[in-house]
Amino acid sequence: MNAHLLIQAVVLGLLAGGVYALMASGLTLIFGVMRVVNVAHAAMILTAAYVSWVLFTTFGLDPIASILVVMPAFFVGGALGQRFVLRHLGDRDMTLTVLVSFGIAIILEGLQGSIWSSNFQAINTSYAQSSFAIGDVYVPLVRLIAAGAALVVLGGLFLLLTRSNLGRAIRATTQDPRTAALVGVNVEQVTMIAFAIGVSVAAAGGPLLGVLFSFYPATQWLWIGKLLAIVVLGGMGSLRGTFVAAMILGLAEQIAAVYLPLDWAPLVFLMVLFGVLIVRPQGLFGSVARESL
Amino acid sequence: MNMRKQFPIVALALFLVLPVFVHEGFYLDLLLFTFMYAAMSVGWDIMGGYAGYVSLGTVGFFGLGSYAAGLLVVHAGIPVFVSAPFIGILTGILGAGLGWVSLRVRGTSFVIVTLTFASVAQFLMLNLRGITAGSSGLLLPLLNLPADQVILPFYYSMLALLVAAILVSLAIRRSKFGLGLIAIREEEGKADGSGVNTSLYKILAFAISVSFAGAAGAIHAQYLNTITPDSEFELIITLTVIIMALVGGRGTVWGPVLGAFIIQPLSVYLIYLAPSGIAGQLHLVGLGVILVLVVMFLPNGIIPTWDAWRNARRRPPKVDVPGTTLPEVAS
Amino acid sequence: MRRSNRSIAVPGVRPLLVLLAAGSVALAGCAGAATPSPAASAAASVAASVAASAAASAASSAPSASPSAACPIAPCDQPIVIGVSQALTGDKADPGTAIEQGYEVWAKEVNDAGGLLGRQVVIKSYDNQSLADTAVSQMERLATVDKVDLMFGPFSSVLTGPTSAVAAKYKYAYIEGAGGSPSVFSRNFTNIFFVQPATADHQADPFVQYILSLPADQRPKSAAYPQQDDPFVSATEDGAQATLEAAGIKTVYKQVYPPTQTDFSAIAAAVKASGAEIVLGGTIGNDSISQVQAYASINYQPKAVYMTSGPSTVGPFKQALGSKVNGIFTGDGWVQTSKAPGNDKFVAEFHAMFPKVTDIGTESAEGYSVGQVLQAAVLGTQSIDNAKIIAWLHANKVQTVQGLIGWDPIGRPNGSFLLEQYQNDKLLVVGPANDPNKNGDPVYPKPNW
Repeated sequence: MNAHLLIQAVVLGLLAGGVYALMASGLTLIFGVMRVVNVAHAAMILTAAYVSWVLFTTFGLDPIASILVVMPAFFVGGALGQRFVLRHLGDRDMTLTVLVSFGIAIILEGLQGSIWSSNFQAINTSYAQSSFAIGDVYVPLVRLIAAGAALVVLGGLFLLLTRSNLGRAIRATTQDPRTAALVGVNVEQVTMIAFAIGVSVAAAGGPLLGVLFSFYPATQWLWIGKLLAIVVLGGMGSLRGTFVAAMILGLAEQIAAVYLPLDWAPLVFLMVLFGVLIVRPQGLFGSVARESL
Repeated sequence: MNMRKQFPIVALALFLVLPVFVHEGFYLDLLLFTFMYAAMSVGWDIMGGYAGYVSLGTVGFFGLGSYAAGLLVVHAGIPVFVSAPFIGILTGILGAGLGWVSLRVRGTSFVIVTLTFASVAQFLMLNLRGITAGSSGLLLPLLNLPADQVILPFYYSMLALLVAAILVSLAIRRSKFGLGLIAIREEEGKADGSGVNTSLYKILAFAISVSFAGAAGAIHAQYLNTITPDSEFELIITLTVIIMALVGGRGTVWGPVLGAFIIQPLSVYLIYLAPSGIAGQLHLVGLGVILVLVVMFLPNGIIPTWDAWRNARRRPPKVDVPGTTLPEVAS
Repeated sequence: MRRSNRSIAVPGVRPLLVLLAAGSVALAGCAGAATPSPAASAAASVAASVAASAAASAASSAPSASPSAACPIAPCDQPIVIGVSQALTGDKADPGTAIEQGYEVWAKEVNDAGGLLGRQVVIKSYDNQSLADTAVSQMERLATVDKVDLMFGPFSSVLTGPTSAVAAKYKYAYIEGAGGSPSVFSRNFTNIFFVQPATADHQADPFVQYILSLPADQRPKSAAYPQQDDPFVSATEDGAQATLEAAGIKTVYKQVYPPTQTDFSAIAAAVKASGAEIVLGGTIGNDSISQVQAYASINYQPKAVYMTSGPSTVGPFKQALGSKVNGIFTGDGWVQTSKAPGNDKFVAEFHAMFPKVTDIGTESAEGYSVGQVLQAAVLGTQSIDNAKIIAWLHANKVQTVQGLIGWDPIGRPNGSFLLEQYQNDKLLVVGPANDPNKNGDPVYPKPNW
């Protein structure tokens, strides 16, 4: 096999991994504080992608710039949703929360289809097809920009979680809500804020998805599968794990695309998911499943 | 008491003779799909209701059952009515395997695995084009029956599937196995501690639960006679099955059946009763809203809620004299 | 799992269940008798057709007017009802709506001219939401409850498959304009009539024949087939590939990509690396633009490029590619400027009914042609008897806006698609040689990008 095709795959994989990491980080954060799989995560990312697409086609707003619009909007939406819908389910089965999340995913998909039709959309910026070459390797410009934006947002998230009081409170709540409450953390409020942050970060991934891939409402199920594979591999609740896992899987997908027919490449994610669950369910950086008593 | 036990028998007799009086294909089509969804919903409830583990992957098993039956018809000439029971069993074995991957630990793996499983199954059927003809789909030859009778095998086989599902669910409910599942739902840690083999029970429950979806898919393949990765893996199928169980009553035998008889006719008739275009636009949103509302405001479903209301009205007011009242035992 | 307080079900709600079962059957009976009469709705013209039929059925107690020369089939004051289960919402909504609009233009034209056999035509259309199960249920309703006189087919081969079986069961003629994948015909139904010039596997025939007509020293020796995963596309690509391979043109690249693919740099690089002299792109829309951009950006210069779909949506294609469009071939069953008899009237009528649509899609022309075919058969047999219509269509050809179409015994049309090519920034019809719409000759090899 061509060595330069392989190097090409590595470059593309790393760039893709950055964007995947952004999309999955919200999912792992939400799981960390609420111990719930947000089945609607990809639907939220797609909603942000549609919003970005509308802003692009109506006002010409560059999708990267629209991140600054969707992030605050979704933060507010997430906070409201947690406060008035999800919090009330907290006292009942976790399974009911999953069902609500599934319902929200369906509602979002239905609304997207009704408002914007089920045709494929993509955000075709002027730089969408340009690339520059480094030797034999070409780097699509849009992938570089998207990866850059992803890293900026992830960097911000990392700083928030490690350097601020809020971040400390979130990490404490993730580790052990009861003890966190004992030391004075307002667990309810922190959970709401953390959920809102998770949704907001997911929204940041929306415009990026829109420029890199074409999408329509039902593609959320392809995406949630990939994102779940990433967070499971990384360890549910571990942001560091999510980043590493996203890189690994991004690389694996591009390398697989070199050797396998193109449409088989996504299977890599799903195989890894099942493999991890069989061999090491807590993933790379997660702790062994801590269950409620 | 006798009346209550006889009603299901009366209903069954009604459905058995109905085709003698009702010949329009539209009504028979409506009923056979109601039976099909009811059977799958009863199956789902064995895992989601009794054991409390929500599976989001029903349609994955349905679709695989459909393709298995379709391929057997096309390549081996085996009619689906013969292969359906075996496909049901094979689906159960597949479910057991999936259960083994995801149910050995408590927690979220089950939801994740079932959700992604449906995607994987559809993906494979789409991309193994050499075998399944991919997105073009498989076209099955039609049954060799006169036009006014050709729907009958489907009607009766779906009815039989429903009866089988109900009987299995009843049997589980009244057995030690069933009690074990309920114990898992209520307090899995304690069930584990008191000697219930929770992993085995969960895996077994899941295997039984999905086998009905596989068999339903097999019969559906011949009914639709054109199977594609889209038609056999529609997420709406999973969504509908879950809503039916929740609306009718999660954790009961008859709840999912009731739910099916409410939801399916509503879904079908909506298109004729609502202005053109509106029903189509809002179908998915409407189902999602129903799911969220039911979970938030009627999480037990109709049957248990009605029972609780009835029992509350029936019981005389309690007089609390310490030492003279025994603890209530659920009947 | 946390504790929840559900009690074990008491077997006391079964009566409710049976009541509901009986109730649903009763509801079925009641709703079956009355036809729906919706208020004003968004899909105005479709709903209007349904409302018209409701009004007509409600007045069905009036005695039927006796037949006359102008109206040979009683009852003359009753409309002829044509039933359709169409994808008006869901992922096939756009082409489904386009076909439906074609049906409506045809119906209005017929009614304005006095009707079909002296009776007004009403199209009774239900939205199947692009779902196959729903389509089958609606076909059953049209046949067994509404008892429509005639039927039209829905958009897409995957919906035509199961619905054609229902139509065959009840012995309706099934005239359809969008189920052209070879598999639709695999069960040898005799009631299907596909109204396009040819089935999908023949769409690229004019291009293939042109390539094979080149003198041996100019003919390409290798071909690439990058294609999107779609049944219509694969039928076209596979058909072309089979013919080209049989003539000795090697397949050096074949790749199916998912519909979500937007980055074609890897594909373009691989196609270039394969050394293919011509490319047959199995495209549907935007991927045609993306493929060309990707090839141009790596300076890959094939001698000919054919794309199954996309280039004939002239506006966006030209806007995105500028002069890179020149030399690109594509195929179509219909062009808006077609010289086929009746086409001018169709285009004018369409613009009048649907002023917001600037470029009429091929699907609308297909829908209109379906109406034309039915009309010809009804007039030819002077009846609305489905058996007679089927027999007549097997024995005759019909002039439509897509040209003259005739069918083989299982409903496959025996005509030819058009070959189009961009030259000097204009899309010309360059083949087949004897087609009345031809206004240019093919250019080969393609000018460099």
